[in-house]
Amino acid sequence: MKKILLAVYLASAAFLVQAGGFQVNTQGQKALGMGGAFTAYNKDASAAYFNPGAMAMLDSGRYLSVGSTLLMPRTKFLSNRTNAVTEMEGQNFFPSYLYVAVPLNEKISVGLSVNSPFGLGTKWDDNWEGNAVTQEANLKTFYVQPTVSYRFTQNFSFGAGLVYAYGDVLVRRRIGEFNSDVKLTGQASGFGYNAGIFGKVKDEVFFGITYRSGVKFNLDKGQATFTNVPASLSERFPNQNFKSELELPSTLSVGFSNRINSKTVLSFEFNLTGWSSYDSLNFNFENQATPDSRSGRRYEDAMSFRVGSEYTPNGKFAFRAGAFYDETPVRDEYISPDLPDGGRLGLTAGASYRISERFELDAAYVFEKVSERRATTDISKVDISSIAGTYRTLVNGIGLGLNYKF
Amino acid sequence: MKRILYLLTGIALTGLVNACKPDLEAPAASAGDAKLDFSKYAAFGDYHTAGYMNGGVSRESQQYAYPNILAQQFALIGGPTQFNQPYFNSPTPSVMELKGFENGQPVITGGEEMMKFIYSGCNPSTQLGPYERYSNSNEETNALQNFGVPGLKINQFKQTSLNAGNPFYQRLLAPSDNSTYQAIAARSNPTFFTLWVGISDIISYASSGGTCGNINQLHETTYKNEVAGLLDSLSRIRKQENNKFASTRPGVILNLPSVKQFAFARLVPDPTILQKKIQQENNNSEIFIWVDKKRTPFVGVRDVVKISFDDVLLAKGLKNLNRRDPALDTRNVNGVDVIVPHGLSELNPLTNEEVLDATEVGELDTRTSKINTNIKELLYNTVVPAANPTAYSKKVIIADVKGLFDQLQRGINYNGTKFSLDPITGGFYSLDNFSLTPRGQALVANCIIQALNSPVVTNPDATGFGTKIPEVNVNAYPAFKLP
Repeated sequence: MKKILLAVYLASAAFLVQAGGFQVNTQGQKALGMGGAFTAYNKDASAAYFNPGAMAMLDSGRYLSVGSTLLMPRTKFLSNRTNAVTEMEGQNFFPSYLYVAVPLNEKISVGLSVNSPFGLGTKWDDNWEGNAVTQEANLKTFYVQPTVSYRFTQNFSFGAGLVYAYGDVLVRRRIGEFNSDVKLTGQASGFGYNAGIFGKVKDEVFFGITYRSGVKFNLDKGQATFTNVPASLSERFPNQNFKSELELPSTLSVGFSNRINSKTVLSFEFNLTGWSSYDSLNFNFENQATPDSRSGRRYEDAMSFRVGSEYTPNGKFAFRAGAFYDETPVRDEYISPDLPDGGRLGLTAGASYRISERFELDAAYVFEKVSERRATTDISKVDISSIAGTYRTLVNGIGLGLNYKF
Repeated sequence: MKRILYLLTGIALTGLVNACKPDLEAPAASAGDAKLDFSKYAAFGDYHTAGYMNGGVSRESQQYAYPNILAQQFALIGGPTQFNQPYFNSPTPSVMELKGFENGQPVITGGEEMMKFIYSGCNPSTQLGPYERYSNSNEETNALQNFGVPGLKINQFKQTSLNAGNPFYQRLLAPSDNSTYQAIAARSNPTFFTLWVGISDIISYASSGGTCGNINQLHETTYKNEVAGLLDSLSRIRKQENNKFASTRPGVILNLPSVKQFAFARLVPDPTILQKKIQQENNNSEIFIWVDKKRTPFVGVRDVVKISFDDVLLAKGLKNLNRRDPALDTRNVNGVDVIVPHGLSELNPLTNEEVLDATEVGELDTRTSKINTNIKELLYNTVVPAANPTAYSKKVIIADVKGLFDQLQRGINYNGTKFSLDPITGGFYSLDNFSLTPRGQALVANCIIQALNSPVVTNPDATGFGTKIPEVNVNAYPAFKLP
């Protein structure tokens, strides 16, 4: 168990930009294959994350799921001023998960969810046109969530989990005025919760509601490193600690699924992510002489809509397909090269193969087209650092997962 | 259902293979509908045009002159890659250097040659140069593309004495050549030109506290007449078949910033605050900064007054304030010789050349804003040449650099880097506090490109050439060099 946790942790060491804002929606291969519409569907231990309420509705087996997705976001930028096209460095990410669900008795199940629901990784060439806005931004999160689920009746259950979250952040940029470089790094942790209800009507219609709370990270001892600082400014820009805080948003998911015949299930879902908690990103330096950094973000709450289906021709195979539209939380005037996010239209496909009574293999593929974003700037707004131009992003992802029933 | 699943899977896989990277191409640069001919771009002007920087000119500073930056962009739409500049092999004497800071004040060395040069106009006995000669034949002169001459004033375009008086001009001419600036301009035969003059007039008058140069030489009528003469040579006014006159060569003329938008006028944002600080330090509210506002030449009237908030304390005044030099600051008070701190007593006021007083600022401001208005009149409604009031219209446009200076006065954020007109920290002005840094030059170049790229419209005030020329990345130019 410890080894698996460690493996998942190491795999999570690299994260991604994906889904509205920096939410990562590749938390289970079955869910991914169905466009993420998984709040009202329970198939394996990933219920611990998607809907803790559904966990108690799994059959009597003990479930373990592990998996990882290779995500390949690719972004290009066209500058309004210089007409130069810059390609963001092509980073690949491996968001991974581990889920366990174990029934204690007829009514109570316990479980564990370990995954990375938020992450961000953008890296531009150190000397690119917008290097005084950003050179690199990286956020890794790691959520651990012990969970309990209780079945009230044959058709209705409830579950909740406590979230311990760990975050690791890195920001690099050039101080354009005198061509010095600053690197900010820090680690923080926070707490949250995940609660859900799940119900079914006559084994044909299922519904689920999940609420995952926001998590607030207080970064008290971040490390700021300044390099290439002219000697005459060294007293103003020494290496030092900084403080910052970041509140990752809550998500409300409402889903509904319908078994239309013995082989086919249709699933629908709506999410509302409370991105408005992300109002600004500030770094307050310990040294009074160092100017603090404040960047407005003013994210808006964002909705997404998901639809998916699963077709099970026999006991060996299952095939899935889905689509989603994920609204961006980033307002037009705040589009920035550290996260040139846009509305996302996604198509997904997936399949499962039952190797044996105990083992099942999942695979999923996702293609996302991020709508083109045009960033404008007003140079007279001295405190807002951005660069004017057009961003286009495509994301491809391939995931593999393994389920073990014991 | 099955089919749909297969279809979706197929579409998704096709997407993976074909569309790993988003498709985003740079639009092509173009000379626009006006089809400008950039085969010989030539630049005319003074300090900024020549690439004057940190109190002198060097090969490096010349490379960052806005005409050279522009030429590199014009090469993207058919211009030649070569741009002929009169390069210096070694820098002009006593280029300024920032050595460090003491008590928050910059310690700057050099600049002696620059001061001599600025004052040479009102002190003809000053011997400067000669600087290393660039041109040995008329052909070499004619082939030049950057005719920026530091110190060139607007009443000198037709003076042959410019050759003897300005070493920066002298080096552009063959030894036997004594042509005027206007004649050289005509000989250069450009297909496209830029013109930015008037800066030298502001600098020598203002940085001398109004003691060097005559403000009337910056008169709007002088400007209009002199510039019209130069424009006629440059843009080659020709009589058309319909007996109207029209310019046959396109160009850009740059307007003028206000004197308060030069960094030398912003060393002390408000001298009365400095006065208050001195009062607090001495615990004496009866200490004032005194200024002798006598006019040059001295007409026998002394007008010693307390400094006011809109007087401009120049670098020299700031340096000499509170000076206690026995040779200079000894005054006889009631029959006894005592040392009186310079500028802090009515008996030993700051001299006229140490302060550009509010009246002088006001006069200069009126002049430059009238000139800016007159440029428009000149191009669109002028009576010169009399035959056709719109001879230059649609061929010569205005680049509103005054607008750029206005933006910089409030501060700008260019792709994450801040710029302002403040000395040193502003990133726009070089150490001499009037010439530009490489990034300042790049901002000016972009301002001109924006003017060229403006659409051709019938409303004359907004006329551009509708070109599609990419701007340069200002931040890619060297940052202000701090020690």
